[in-house]
Parts: sequence; structure tokens; C-alpha cells
Amino acid sequence: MRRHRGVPVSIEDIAKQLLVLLPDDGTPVLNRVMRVMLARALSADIDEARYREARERLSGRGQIGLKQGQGGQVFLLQRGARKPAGRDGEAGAWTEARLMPCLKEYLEGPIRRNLDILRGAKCLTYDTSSLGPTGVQWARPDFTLISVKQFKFLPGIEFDVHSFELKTESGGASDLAVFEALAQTRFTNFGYLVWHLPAGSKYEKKLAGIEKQCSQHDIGFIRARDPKQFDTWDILIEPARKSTPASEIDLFLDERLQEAQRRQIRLLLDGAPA
Amino acid sequence: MKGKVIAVANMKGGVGKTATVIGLAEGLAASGAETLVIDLDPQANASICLAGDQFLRMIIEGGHTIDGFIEDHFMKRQKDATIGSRIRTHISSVSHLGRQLPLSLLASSSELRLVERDLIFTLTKTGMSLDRVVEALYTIIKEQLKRTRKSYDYILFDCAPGISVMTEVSIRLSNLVIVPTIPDFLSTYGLNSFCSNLWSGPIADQSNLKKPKRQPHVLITRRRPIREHDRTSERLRAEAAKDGTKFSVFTTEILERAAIAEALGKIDVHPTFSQKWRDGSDIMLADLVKEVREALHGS
Repeated sequence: MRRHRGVPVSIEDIAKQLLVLLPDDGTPVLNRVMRVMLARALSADIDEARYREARERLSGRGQIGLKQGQGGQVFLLQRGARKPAGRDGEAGAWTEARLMPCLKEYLEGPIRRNLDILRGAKCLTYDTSSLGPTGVQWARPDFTLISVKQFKFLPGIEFDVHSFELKTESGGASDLAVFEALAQTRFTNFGYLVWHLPAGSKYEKKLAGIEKQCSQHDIGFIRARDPKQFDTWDILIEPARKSTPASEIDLFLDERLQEAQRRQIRLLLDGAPA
Repeated sequence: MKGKVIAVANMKGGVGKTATVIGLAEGLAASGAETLVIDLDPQANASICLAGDQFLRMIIEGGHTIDGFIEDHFMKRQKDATIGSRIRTHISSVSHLGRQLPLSLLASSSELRLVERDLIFTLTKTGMSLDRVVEALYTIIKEQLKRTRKSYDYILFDCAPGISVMTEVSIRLSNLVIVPTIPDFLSTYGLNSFCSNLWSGPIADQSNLKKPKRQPHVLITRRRPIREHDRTSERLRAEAAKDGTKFSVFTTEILERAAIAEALGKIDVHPTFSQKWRDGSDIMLADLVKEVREALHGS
């Protein structure tokens, strides 16, 4: 049987990728699984000998630990030992990773002034892009925003959870982006698609279609022209409230957020300033 | 040896086409065969099952899809556009006997539906009939596959429900066509017309392209222990045994099992082949692989 051998990946490249793939919190990964993860990430055969050599090189540098059992496991020893993956495209390109801090800043300020449903609300924003179950499709919003609104006369409060799906210039140019944002409203009251679409982009022709899809699915749609200039971010569609069961939203917050974040929400509900 | 091409197709939806493609592809790969899956369904179910969320996102963002190829080649007239450069090798998250399954993917995206429509519109505007559109697409995909086939033992097409242009092309390019069919009244209702349309009926006769050599092979899927399924399976097998029959039927049947549905949902995890295909599903797939090999290469 033929094999896609191609050019063998260097031991150093395997080692670098291994550091990128290991969980930050030191959770061990089976050697069998890590070899599959490496092969997928590098799109190359990773044979046992080369994998072992890369692993031993990292272990020798004190960057990873090795565990016995079930064919052996590896885990990250030092936080910060990892190097950037460097596979997000050419330098200077607006990758999702580069856009994330811009969106965070936007959610912590400008959006609260521009979006009707957030006006006058106390808000908290959390990066939930890497939190959530594995094996479940479209279940990790890039950001989750909690808003709490108290009324002057009416009793009680309005507590809402908003999920944001961030897309790069090319990534937002498909209906899938809308469906992803929609799927996340399984856990939240409002869903948004945030698309970085620079002026003059070749994907501009897709804009009307994406906007229509968002409107049909009651998903909020934010178009960011220049990630650093918030006056170029436009809320093209305000979302409509989804009838997500309160129990699902509660479970989502309980499972995805850390204890400190959950405590922040409880404080906010008790009337502390956001 | 050139890789063998298998199309998995049926006019009817929900009969287990994608489950068959994924199971058969992983079964073939587990037996050591270098296998490529080409997703021709805009629902991209085979793509998400094989690539998982993160990788499929990267593939689609990079335009490395079958619709990306068709758009570049036909609409943008980039004659150097290739299928090969869009194939994602080493895509499987599944391992067997300590090795990653040798599986590659040419993914699709929801854009395929629009691209196919635009292609028909563009080419018919130049005066081409629909048959000529099929021929043009057939010629290009055949040329592309000629190069790709050298690198693979098996190439599987996951066709969209219905008879789209892409489905017709893939059936004509294939060495074997598998028609997954639930053994009930509705699922078998259109079976004869599907087979006769492409193998001996008007669609086949009007085309200048060669008719498929082998008759289609029906694979009974989602079989349950109920009288309706027993009766229909028996009828299908009796029909297939007659002279001048339009189709063959595999002996292997894919039973309706929770384990199969669960296996398809195992994306973004890294199981072994037998961890993924539980409760005897792995044995069922091994039987199917054996029969498919026999159908293609002889016993």
C-alpha cells in the first residue's frame, strides 16, 4: 500500500509543534494521540522513532514531562514553554488570534454604547474560545458577554448572556459562519457574528448574503472594517432574543467559567459595579 | 496500479450515504489502504466527520475545497488550478495499530451548491447543453483524478442526494457505485429509476460519455429487526438474483445501531479504530471492506 511520505518533518519542527499542542494546564496526552495530533497538524507521517527523538529532546530541556501507562503520556512542564505556532498565515495578516484582543476591547467599551439592548446595563466579558467540551460542534463562542440591567420602577432584573463568533476576512465569507453563531445560541440569549471585512475586500460581494442569513436567523451582525478603529465597526443587525431554556444558560455559565468569574457574576447580580 | 474509484450515491437522503463513506473509508484505511474521500455534498457532513471543527474551518478558509477548485478552474479560468493541491492528507483523528489511519480529504463547503449552479449558468450561457456541461466537468475531473489516483488505493465520492451534475460525473468516473438503501417502501421506491436513469435510461442514453461498467451495488443500511425490513431485504435480494437485473446487493448489511451514530459524532477526539466503531460495528465494516474489494478486484 502506498504512503504519503513527502518531505520528512525535522525533529525540531515536531518538537515545536508538540509544545503547541500540549494543553496549557499540564493535562497529559497519550503518545498514540499526540502522534495523530502531530500528523494532522503537520500534515505528515510522524513515525515512532522521530516522535521519540523529539519527545526526548523536549524532556531533556525540561519542557515536558513523561508518564508511564497506556503506551506512555506527555505533558507540559513549564507554562510559557510553548512558542507561537506560526501557522496563521503571513506576518501582519489579521488572523483570528490577532483579532481577539480587538474584539475584547470593543466588547468592553464601544458596543455597550452602540447596542440598544446593552445600553444602561452592567456587563462582564469573558474569552470562552478555548473552553468547552471536545467532540461537540460549534459549542465554543469566542467571547461571552453577560449583561445585567435593573429598571427604575419595575421589580427584578434582566440577566442576559450574549455569545460572539469572530471571523477573519475569509472565514466570515460563508453561511457556515452564521450557522456557527446561531448554534451557539443553544447556550445563550443572543448570538452575534463579528466579521472582519476590510474596505475593498474581495469578499465584499458576500456581505449582502451573510447579512440576509443573519437577519433570517435573528443573529446580530457586526462588521469590522479596521480592527483598531472602533468607529469603523458597524452593528448591521441587532440580534433578537432566543428562547433558550434558562437551565441551559445556567449550565453553560457553570461549566465554562472559572470560579472567580462565576463569583464576579454573583457580585454583579448583588448590585456591585461592573 | 491506479486507485479504484467508488461513488456512494442515492437519490434519496437520509439513507446513510455519509455513514457508509466514513465507515468504508476508515475500514479500508484500517486495512492499510491509502484512501481519499472526496465530499461532493454541500452539507459537508463527510468533511466535518473526518476533519473536525477546527481543521475544516482552516480548510474552508484556505479555499481548499472541491467548490474552490471548480470556481477557480471554470469561473476564474485558472487553468493551473488542481485538485491535488487542495487535498488535505493525514486528516484522520483515528489510529489503528499505533498509526494514524492513512486517510485524506478533499472537503466541500456549503458554497458547492452555489458554485455548481453558477457553473451550469455560466456554461449554458455559452450555448452548452446540460449534457455538454456534464461532459466538460467529467473531462476536467477525470484529468485531475488521473494524477491523484496514483497516490491512492481507493478514492470515495460522497455524493449529495439527488442526481446533480457532480453526482452524474462521479458515477461515470467510478469503478464501483454503492447505493446505500434502507430496506423499506419509501427508500426502495426510487431505486429502480435511479439505477435505470444513469445506467440504461434517458440520462445514460443522451450522454456521449461511457455508461458505468459495473451495475450498482445496493448496500442495505439502517437495518432493524422488523417485518418491513425483513420483507424488503428479501425482495431486494430476490430481484438482484434475477436475470437482467439492474443492481447487485451486498451480503453485508449495516444494522441500525446507536454505536454508528455515536461514531460519526466523534470529531475532535482521537480514538482507535475499534474504540470509534464499537459494539461489533468494526466487524461489520471489515465484512463490507472484504466485499468491496471482491467486487473491485475479484475474490
